[in-house]
Amino acid sequence: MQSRLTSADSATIATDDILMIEREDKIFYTFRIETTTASATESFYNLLVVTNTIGDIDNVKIFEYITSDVWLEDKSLPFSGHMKLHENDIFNENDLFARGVKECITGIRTKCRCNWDEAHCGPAPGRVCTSWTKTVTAIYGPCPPELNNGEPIDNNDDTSTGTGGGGGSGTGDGDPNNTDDCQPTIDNPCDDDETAVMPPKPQNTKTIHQKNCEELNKLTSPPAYNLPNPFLDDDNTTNSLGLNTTARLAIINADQSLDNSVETGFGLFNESNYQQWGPYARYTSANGETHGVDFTGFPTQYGTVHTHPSNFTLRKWIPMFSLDDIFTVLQIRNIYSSIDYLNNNNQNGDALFVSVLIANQGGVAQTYAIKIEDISKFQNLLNIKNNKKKWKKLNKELFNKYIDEADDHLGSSTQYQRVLLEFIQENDLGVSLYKMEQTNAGTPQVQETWKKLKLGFGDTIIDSQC
Amino acid sequence: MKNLFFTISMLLLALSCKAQSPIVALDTYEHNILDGSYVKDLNSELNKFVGTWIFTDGTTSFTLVLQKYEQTFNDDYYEDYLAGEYSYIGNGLAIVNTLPSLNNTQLSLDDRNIGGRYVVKGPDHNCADCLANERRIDLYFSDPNREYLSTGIVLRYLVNKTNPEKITATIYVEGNVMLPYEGASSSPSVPYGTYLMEKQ
Repeated sequence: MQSRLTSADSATIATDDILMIEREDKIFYTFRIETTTASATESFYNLLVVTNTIGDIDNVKIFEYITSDVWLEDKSLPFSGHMKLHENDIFNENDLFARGVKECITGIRTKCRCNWDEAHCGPAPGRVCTSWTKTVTAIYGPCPPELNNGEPIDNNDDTSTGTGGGGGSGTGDGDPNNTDDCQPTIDNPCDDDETAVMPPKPQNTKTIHQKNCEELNKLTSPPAYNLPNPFLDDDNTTNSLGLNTTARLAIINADQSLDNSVETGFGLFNESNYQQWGPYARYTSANGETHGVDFTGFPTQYGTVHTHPSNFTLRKWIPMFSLDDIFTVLQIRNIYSSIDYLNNNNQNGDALFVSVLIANQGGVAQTYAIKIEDISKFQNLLNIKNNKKKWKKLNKELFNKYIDEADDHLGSSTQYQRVLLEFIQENDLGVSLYKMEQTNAGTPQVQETWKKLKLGFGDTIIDSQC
Repeated sequence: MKNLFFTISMLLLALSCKAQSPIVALDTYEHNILDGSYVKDLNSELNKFVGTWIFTDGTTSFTLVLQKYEQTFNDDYYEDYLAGEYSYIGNGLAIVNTLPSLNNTQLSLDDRNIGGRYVVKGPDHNCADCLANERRIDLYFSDPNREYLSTGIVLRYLVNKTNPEKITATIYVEGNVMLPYEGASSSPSVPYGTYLMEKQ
């Protein structure tokens, strides 16, 4: 059985769902507590924060719920099991509702982002906003005197940077005879708490886009894994040329080899003990005859990075993904997913697999990624690959579309993006296209971001930021 | 009665027009071909390549046998099509030979190791001396021992070489592939390159 929650459990307060119950002069906030160690099949924890109406924290408690077998079998039923009440010795109460201590919401600002124009949602000639995102920003400031017994709050000495509490809903029917000064103990819990059981959310409820973004950000964020990595050592057998590197450096430095007459390639690997060392990029030489990079189907390979050079001395490249580039992602996925050890440690499933391409479009180096959107649709590509006639036909369709609609190898970024997105959509391939961008390029603060590209109305291409 | 005859005639004519597959030229881009169309070899460009062609260099030889098929259906539209088989002998050793399958009547067009009808124009596929408006034919080229490869073959008819007729066959990489194991070959059994071939 799970022992009680301690600071060693790396507990964090989940703020995406908050249950708020108002009763008389108190507000009861219930949060899920997420831990890296607790097993949701045995027990889970909620945090109850009780405040007065102006946000002063009254008390904080931790509820431990020990699950019954009946509830585990059907979690749609009301919770059944045992409850234990713990004093809060995990979270610093000063960090909770940091703004609530001395600040009030003094204003609300709303911003509307239309799908065709991020600036506003107003009408424009000939265009209709078909969907939009509305962001509501709460503006905090000193509380007015009437909320502080007539004393204005000096906000200058408040250096907290915490975020405000969240929303939620609920009703309470508490016992009006309860007193406010109850100090709960395990043996003597207060009976006036207003809360409800908040079981852990089902694992991995992230959208495919969120998972794809998470994995793409892992590729390019400054090492989100442990260094040094033995696979980057010069004497490692996989590093005979001494060019192995991190995924990020393989991607962001690839533009320096676009003038080469052969492709530059790296396989992205999770080798044995990768949980300890993390992933790395293994340099893969170009083929002397084809001047392209043919990756080998290693079980621990989860992606590829390669270039399409703009030097046409030996071979002419279209500066965008080919059909074979796209198909490689499926092959890698199918090999990797067949290994139990790798599969069991793969947090985001098919969102892990990737093909990154760096190519010069209209004189500017661009970086793109193919990600899996719908694996059942993507698997259909295997049937086409196994039919020589149909594979050639599909290859020709994409190649001729680049020639016809993107000026062959001289097109613009937008043209190549549109051709590929249309091809993916028309053939229902089940993949999506992402583009990488850099901010603060050329400075130590350089940072990469990714966005998903989609076909918009008419000839437009719209994006969803990661 | 006269009106009825006229009405029925017009109706039949309309139905007849609707049932016709639109005929489009061989060089129509794939994404512009409507389902049910007929991609027709209007100028008999494919006919020039039909037959047996041989490249020889000492004890190395490469043989192509190509046949034309008219109005075949590919699940989307009809097309005139070129398909065939080949053999390669390198330094006296038989490396690959798919020619016997030509006699196998059970095989469909999809099973042929060479097939296609796609027009390539100008200097594409490394044809530096091709004229801008010169038309060649692009086909897939499958190696039964290395089916993981993505390889094509471009045929160029040499108009000034008539006795015997000659073509060049350029075997090229269509796209990068995933090799099935470490050390697997990235090249087909017939090496990449251009072969000058004579008609038999």
